Amino acid sequence: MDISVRSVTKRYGTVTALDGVSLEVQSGSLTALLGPSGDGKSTLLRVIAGLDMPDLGSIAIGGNDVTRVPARKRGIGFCFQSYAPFRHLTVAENVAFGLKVRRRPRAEIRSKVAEMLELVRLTEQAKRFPAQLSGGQVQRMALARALAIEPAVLLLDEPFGALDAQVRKDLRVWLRGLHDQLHITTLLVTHDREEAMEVADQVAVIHGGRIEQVGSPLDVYDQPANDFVLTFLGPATRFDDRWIRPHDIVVDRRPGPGSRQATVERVVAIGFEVRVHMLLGDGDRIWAQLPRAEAAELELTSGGRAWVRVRQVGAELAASGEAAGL
Amino acid sequence: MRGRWLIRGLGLGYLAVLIALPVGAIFWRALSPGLAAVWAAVSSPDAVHALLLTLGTGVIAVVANTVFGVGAALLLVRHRFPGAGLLEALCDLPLSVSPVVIGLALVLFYGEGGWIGGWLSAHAIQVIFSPPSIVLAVAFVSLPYVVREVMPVLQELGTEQEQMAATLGSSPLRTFLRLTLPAIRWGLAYGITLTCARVLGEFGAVSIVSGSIEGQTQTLTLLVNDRFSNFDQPGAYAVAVLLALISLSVLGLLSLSRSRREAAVR
Amino acid sequence: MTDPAPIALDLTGPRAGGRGAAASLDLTRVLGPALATTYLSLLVLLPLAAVLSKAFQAGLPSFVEAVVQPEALAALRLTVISSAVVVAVNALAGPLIAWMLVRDQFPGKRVVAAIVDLPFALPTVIAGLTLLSLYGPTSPVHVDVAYTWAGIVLALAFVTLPFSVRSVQPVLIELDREVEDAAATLGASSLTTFRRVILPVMAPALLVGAGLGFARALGEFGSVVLISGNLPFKTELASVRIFNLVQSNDLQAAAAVSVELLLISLVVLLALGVVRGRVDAHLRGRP
Repeated sequence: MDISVRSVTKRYGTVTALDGVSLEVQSGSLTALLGPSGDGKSTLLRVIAGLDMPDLGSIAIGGNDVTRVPARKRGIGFCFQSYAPFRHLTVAENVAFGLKVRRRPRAEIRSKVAEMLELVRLTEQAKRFPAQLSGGQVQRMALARALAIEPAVLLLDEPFGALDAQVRKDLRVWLRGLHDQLHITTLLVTHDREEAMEVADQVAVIHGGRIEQVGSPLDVYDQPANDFVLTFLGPATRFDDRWIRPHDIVVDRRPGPGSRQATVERVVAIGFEVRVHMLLGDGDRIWAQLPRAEAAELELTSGGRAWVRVRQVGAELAASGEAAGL
Repeated sequence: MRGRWLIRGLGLGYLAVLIALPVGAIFWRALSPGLAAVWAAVSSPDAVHALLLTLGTGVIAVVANTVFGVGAALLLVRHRFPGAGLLEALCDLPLSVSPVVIGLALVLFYGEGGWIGGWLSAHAIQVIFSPPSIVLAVAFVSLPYVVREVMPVLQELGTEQEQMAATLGSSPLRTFLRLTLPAIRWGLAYGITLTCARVLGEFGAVSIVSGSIEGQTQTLTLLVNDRFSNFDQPGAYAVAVLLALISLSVLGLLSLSRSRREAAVR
Repeated sequence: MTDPAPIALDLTGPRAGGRGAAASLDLTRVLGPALATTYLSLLVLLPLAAVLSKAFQAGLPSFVEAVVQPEALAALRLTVISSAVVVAVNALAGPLIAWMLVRDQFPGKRVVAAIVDLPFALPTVIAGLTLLSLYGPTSPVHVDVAYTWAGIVLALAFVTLPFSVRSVQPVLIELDREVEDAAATLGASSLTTFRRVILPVMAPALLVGAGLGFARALGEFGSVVLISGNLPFKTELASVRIFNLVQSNDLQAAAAVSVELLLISLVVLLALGVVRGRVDAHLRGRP
């Protein structure tokens, strides 16, 4: 089922958390709602879920207007950053909760719970309590709990935010796999651009309570609608009054067509990538991102001279001024 | 969200009917004969004496229980000794005993024919039916508060700071005065305030041990009861309002020290 | 006994504090407990022992006689029943009010919190007077519960309300709001959420509050003595009975009834402790 958000505004006192936000989430897709912390992402998710009511605008799920429908009747699945486990219930009882509330027959509940635990690979932990599991396991339980009621849409509020970096990476890959298996319309809130890019079919960038741009991950990366999207989606450096991605800057020991002279200030190796910080003749500072092998070949040293140019004309980031999706 | 209004209605309604309205009613009743009458009722000799007696005995009891409370808390938290569990249970005991039983207990111990009653009268010391009995009674009932409030704060504080001070050459007393005491001050303040409230409001035990002798052993609460029983309702209400006002300021102090204590613990 | 080590920086003490600098003073370790014991003995322990002794002074038969005396039995029965009813009522009102204070937002919430605390700070006899002035013979709203059981219940509810609110409040504060939201997204109504998610977590605290309230109600005197009218067999509570016995100098009977009241308190507190232990065990998974 698709999600349709139309001109939703939500205020808390004098603060406007959402300002005329509109968004379409296609049925079966995985959309990432990406933006800095506190910029309205969670609020939008809660409004879609029915946990908060908008002041203006409407929400529709699967074509039905649910704006005034309370959360428990919307048939959505929700996962919180804090997992929100029912601590006094076992893992199996947690997963069964939504079904018990709907008074499904016991046999049905048992088989569904088993199925869900199998899906998230927590079958061994069925009789344990959330306090005895790791963070990642608890979030998987929360996911199973949300999916058990066969929701029309799945809303995830920074589900991996509280986890270690490696666990986060593993889980996001796993989540994408799960999505490919189940095809439930999913809206994922995150402030981690890497996560959004890796996992989502569509990325909606939100800032200050407004949607800045909606598009495929590569679209928003290569053709950002404005400066904010541009700098948020990836590294950028200013070259000749234009914003350029550092990996689109070509560094050479010898001058070439269109290249300019620069003085190397610092060369920093971070794992696979090498960052070369340079000072241009006119006083501007830029940095370029090179693969290790390439940087090694160039034999750049601090204080040395280099020639820089932009990789190709099309690499210029056009601030089109038009944020798609508005 | 209709449920929310239902809860609010029930909750606020219950509080209003049970607490807020009655308290309001007594203020209204007390003030209806006019401020002059109220003033006369609270400034009469017996009222003034009651106030002084209450404050005097109260201060002694509060100080005694504060010293005991801090000492016992230090003992229970920082040291281990046989009978610690018993000590802690005894400190909590006054909370489970009826004030009248407490009064009876004091009479049976300090009164004529009591366990040390004989020794006391042999030395011409009168306790029961005399102000010292009031001190004993209010101290008994308010015993637990300082200990209970200081113990968790001390626990929370830990000994690292004290040990640090010791390595720097500070004597135990100095460490206590300059380090421990300031650190526990809000928990201690809360405990002392609770003690004061309890001391001020004690009725049952002092009723029994003091004999409620007008002009001699009548505390403010006993005065209220006395006047009411003698059909001097306006007089009773006036003193009641005085006590209520003092209680309200105690309440304010409670709130303040509670929030400060919570802030300090965080 | 622990060894008298000199200024030992022992970080492995039995309690969270370990041995502090004062441990170096053997004197403190002996003097402290001694002083505390003396203070407690003279103030609490010995006087209470005197009650126990007095109750059995004339032998066991005399004790039993005083205890099964009709008025005494009636008073005890009235006390226990009233206290139980009041605790039950406040067990419902307490969580409700606590939820309102923790989760709800409305102007004047601070005032409401203060009202909840008022019974803690107000002298009991004043509490009784306030109830009498509004719900007694001179009531401006023509509600008269003086000399009735309703008046007793009212007074006891007044003084024990803070226990049930304050015992439950910290639990609610700690309960993550998102847990209630999660239950809502899974289809639970407010009532279902309360029943299946909030209540189980609150249960131990509720029991503690109930225990404290019950112990308080059993012994309550100041707030009930004026409003109940103390009619034997009808509205005379155990505490008032004891008071009257003392006034008429029948100290032995007074001591007997006192001992019985104390026993009831003890039994109830122990029972609640056991139930609480069971509930705790059932909620194993709590952090």
